Amino acid sequence: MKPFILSLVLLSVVQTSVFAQDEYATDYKVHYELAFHIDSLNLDQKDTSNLYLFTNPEFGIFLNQSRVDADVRLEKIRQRLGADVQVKISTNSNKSQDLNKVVFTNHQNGEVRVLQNLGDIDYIYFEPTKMDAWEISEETKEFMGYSVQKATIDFAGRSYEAWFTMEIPIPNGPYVFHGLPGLIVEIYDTQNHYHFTMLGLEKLETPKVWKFPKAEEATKEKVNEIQKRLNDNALNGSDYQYMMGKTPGVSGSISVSDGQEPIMELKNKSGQEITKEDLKRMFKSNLENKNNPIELE
Amino acid sequence: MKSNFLFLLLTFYYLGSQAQIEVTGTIIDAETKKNLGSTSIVVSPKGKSNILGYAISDSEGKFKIKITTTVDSLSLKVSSLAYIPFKKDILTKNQDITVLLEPAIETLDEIFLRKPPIRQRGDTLIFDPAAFKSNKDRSIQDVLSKMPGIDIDPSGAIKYQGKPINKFYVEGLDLMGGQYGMVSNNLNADKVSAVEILENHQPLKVLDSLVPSEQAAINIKLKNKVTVSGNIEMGLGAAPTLYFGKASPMLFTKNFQTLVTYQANNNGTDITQDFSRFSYTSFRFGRSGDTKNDWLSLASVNPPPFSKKRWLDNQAQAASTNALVKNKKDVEFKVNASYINNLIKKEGGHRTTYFLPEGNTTIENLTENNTRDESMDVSLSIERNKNKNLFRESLSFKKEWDRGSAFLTENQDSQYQRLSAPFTDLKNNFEIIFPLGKQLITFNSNIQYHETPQELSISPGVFTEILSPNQPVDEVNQQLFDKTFIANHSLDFTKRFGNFSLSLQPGVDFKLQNMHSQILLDGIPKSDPDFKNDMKWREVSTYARTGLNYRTDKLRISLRLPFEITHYEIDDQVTNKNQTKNPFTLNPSLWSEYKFWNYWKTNVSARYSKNYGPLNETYSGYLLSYYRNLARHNVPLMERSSQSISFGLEYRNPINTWFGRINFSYSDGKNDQIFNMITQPNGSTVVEALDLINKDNRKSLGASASKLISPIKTTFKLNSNYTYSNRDILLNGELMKNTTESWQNSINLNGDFVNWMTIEYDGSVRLSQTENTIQDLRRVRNQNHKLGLYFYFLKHHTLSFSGEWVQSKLENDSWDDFFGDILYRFTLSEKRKIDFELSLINLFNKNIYQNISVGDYTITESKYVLRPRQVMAKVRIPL
Repeated sequence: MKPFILSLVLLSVVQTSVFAQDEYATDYKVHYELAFHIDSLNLDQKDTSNLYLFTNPEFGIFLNQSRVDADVRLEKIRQRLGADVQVKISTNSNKSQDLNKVVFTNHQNGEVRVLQNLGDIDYIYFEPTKMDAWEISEETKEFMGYSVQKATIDFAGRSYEAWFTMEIPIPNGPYVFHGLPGLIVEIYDTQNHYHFTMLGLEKLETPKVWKFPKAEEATKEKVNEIQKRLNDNALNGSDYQYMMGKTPGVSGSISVSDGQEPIMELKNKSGQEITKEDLKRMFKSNLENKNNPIELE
Repeated sequence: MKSNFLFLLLTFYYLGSQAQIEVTGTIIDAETKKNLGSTSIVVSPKGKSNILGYAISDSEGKFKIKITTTVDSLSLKVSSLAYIPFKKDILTKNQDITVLLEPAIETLDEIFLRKPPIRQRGDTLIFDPAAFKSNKDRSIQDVLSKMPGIDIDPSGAIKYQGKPINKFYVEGLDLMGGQYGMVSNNLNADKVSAVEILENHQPLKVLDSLVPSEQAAINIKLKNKVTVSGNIEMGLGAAPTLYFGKASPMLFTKNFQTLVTYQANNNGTDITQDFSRFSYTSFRFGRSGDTKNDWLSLASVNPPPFSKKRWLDNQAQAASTNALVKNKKDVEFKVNASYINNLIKKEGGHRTTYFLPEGNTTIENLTENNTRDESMDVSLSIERNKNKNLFRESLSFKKEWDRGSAFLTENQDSQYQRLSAPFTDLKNNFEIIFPLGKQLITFNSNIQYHETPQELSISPGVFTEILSPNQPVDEVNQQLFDKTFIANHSLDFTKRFGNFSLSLQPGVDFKLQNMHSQILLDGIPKSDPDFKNDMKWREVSTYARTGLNYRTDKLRISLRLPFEITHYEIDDQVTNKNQTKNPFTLNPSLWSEYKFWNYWKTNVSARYSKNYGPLNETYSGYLLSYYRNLARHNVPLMERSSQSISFGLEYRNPINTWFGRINFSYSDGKNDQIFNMITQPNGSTVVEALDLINKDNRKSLGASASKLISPIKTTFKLNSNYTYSNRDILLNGELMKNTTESWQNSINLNGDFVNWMTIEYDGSVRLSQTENTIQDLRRVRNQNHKLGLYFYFLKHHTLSFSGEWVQSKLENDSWDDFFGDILYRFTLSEKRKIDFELSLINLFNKNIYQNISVGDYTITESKYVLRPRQVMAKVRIPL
């Protein structure tokens, strides 16, 4: 009982001190490249993605490239078209759902919050697993001129090997991985299905200021349920906009006018026109192929 | 409570010396006295770096670490951004520590702005020039030569992993084509933000996933959108009067690039480094453009095997103008024009010993050779290179006025030779690639015409026993006129099926060459038809070349089966004899490349081919091509069949900067004829071809490895190559096997071990041996070591000492020589880098060099006249 109440108190303390703020400034930007196999049955296919960790000693924000640029573009569009125009910039990568998550890590108490956008609604949840079970080994090597040391941990059904350097005393890393006495420069699971590599590190000339977006509070399980429900709905119904956003290689336009049927022009990777039924088929097979997300449990 | 305590004590006793302690504490900023959260606290055994326990301080600055250890002294390390790391020795017991962290005064930006020297993005490797550039380096070429995986030939050609590059782009545009030396030697390294290596580069975008490429391309990325670079250099020197001038302004913007240059010097700087055209793209359509035939040549001396600046006696002038404009529709218009006038003097002597079955002959001579290479080149091209289609039209015109003279003294006799070999060439190439339905269609047309009237005069006359047995002759003239017309046209149909693509290429290649020659004695043409030529050589090839390609991310396979019928016709208008042959050939080839384990690549290739000719080696009249060579090749068309196979393994890891490769190749061939060289007692040869099947084979194994050692900014490169070749040679009517083995090793070390000095070391050792039944095993060993030391003790001043040591060893005899140079450089303004230089070359004034070379049945000891000691003052202003 006692520990539970204590943690509740801590939560509210945390809430007021870090996450209740509206703005955070980060001084450092770490560029990671993720090489991953989204389909465990087709290991020949490898995807890559550019991800960024904006961090300070106290906290860090981890997100994908297009999200980083989204704020800037949104501002520019608003300036051109007027502030009251409804604009939605799709910053979702359709390579993998995991890449759409934004991860906020508080280094001082080890709390991780994950922001995920599903069906155009932002949800935020606390990551329940604590990253305190790191086992630091004696193995060291050189990485990009830094002296790095190996640590291992199990998380969400995978075993990971991480390399961190104490020369950069930021206790953070890519995705939800944090808590080592130095920055994680490389981390991968033992099957090498997900491999993060640091490509660059810079101190920003002007610190980047982040606004915490308005999001619906939820739990991790609830968010996973919502995701599944959305996919099923899309398949059974005809949410083509949703399917288009989630199928790689598909581009095109859907124009919606009030009260009328949406007009769609869809093209596949080679520039050929495809029908709504083609899109539905591609969406379904794509879902089936994406059987290898980063978190297996 | 008491029992707990007792139990605890017993536990401790039982576990022996293993202690479990708790270290707690608070981290505080020493200046502001505020508590610091998010700092890393690590506990290790004293003197060791393995981590026993660690923690990150919370928002109150507090931490708690539990440790279980057998060691009694520990070390506590605390680090946080913007603070000086804190270290303290502690004992293995429970304790509470307060740590005061001092803010760091010097900027920690250094740690954070460390860009990796090499990055990988798909098939592209990105090199950061700042990681390789030393204080003394100026042009991007200086920096390229330090990058692992990249090698620069002495001629200036750039190679990646042992293969020449096929394109040199600056910001995606190819301004100079094969003359990329002009850009890489004069573009300021400080203006370059990255050097990209595009592996397996296919220059024609539309063919990108259809036609595989083994070669890589270089793309230079610039820091600014508008870049002006190049230099203005001027120098004057002595012993005798020396001058050096070079202006090479260049401009690079997104849609416009231009380079203009004017150069003149007589101080031994090889002007061809900037002006050489490095041939690059491997041709898709089988027959590449035709080049000039050099039928006649002057007597000359072989220059020494070391730096050109020590022996090149030159007077050179050259100019070039180039511009590229890209319009809104992505059409590139390009104009390139250059002119060179290069006079080169060579002076040296030989002592040649010929090993013949009937006994040895020795000839001693001294030669002075003056050659003037004068040429002008203009080319225009329009190109639209898109992902879906390609359009390319280029027209080029070249004119050469090459001429020279030689003066020889041989065993007391003297001789004067003159050669003129002007050349005119006009070439047009048109290519278009476009999709039609599901296929890709290509049309390619290549039309070329060139002619060259050549003349060699020798006085007093040579080969007088054959040419004029009864009368003495003062001057012998060989005149020759060669003109060639080529028209190659082909279509290509390529269709893709998933990962496969199939292509069919029907086409016709037409070549007509006409050569007529005559020998004049004292101005009077020799009427004997044995000494006249009027040859017409015609080659018409009708073909259907088929190809199959398979491509995935990891594996590429390419199979080619060209079906070809060629009509060969040799029409001899002097003897009225006509030879024709219409062979059918199928010359298959296979190439495959497989990528594995992230950084490894392996490739295999195999080829079989049957070739005929070359046609122009058949002529019935004697031709005096060289003062020692009067030959007629009155023979049928030569048939050669050969096969080869090669394997390669490559490794390149951008993260640890190791690059390596190993290649093995084997080839063998069979010719249906062999040249019979009948050697006269005076050492001259008469050549005939005999119908005698002869074989040859060759094996070679090569390996190289290179790496950058970042902390000391040093690159080292190792290269080794072993070749074994065996061929049948005919000596005075007897067929015998001749074996040559050679082994070449080189090591290159380049770097700043400390920040006030740069070291450059280049060493190579070459062993070669030849053996046949006449000549016993002859072994020659050559060594060449160059060392350059550059010191920057004071800001703005650079002092350099360099030395070159060369050695030649034949059995027990050896020759060696050592050269030294000194350079002093004063750099005005760190940012602009305007240099004033004073250089002293050949400090010890060595002006003669000696060398030995082993041929099939000869040994030659040569001497060469070198450039004497020279001093030069030079100024370089970068633009």
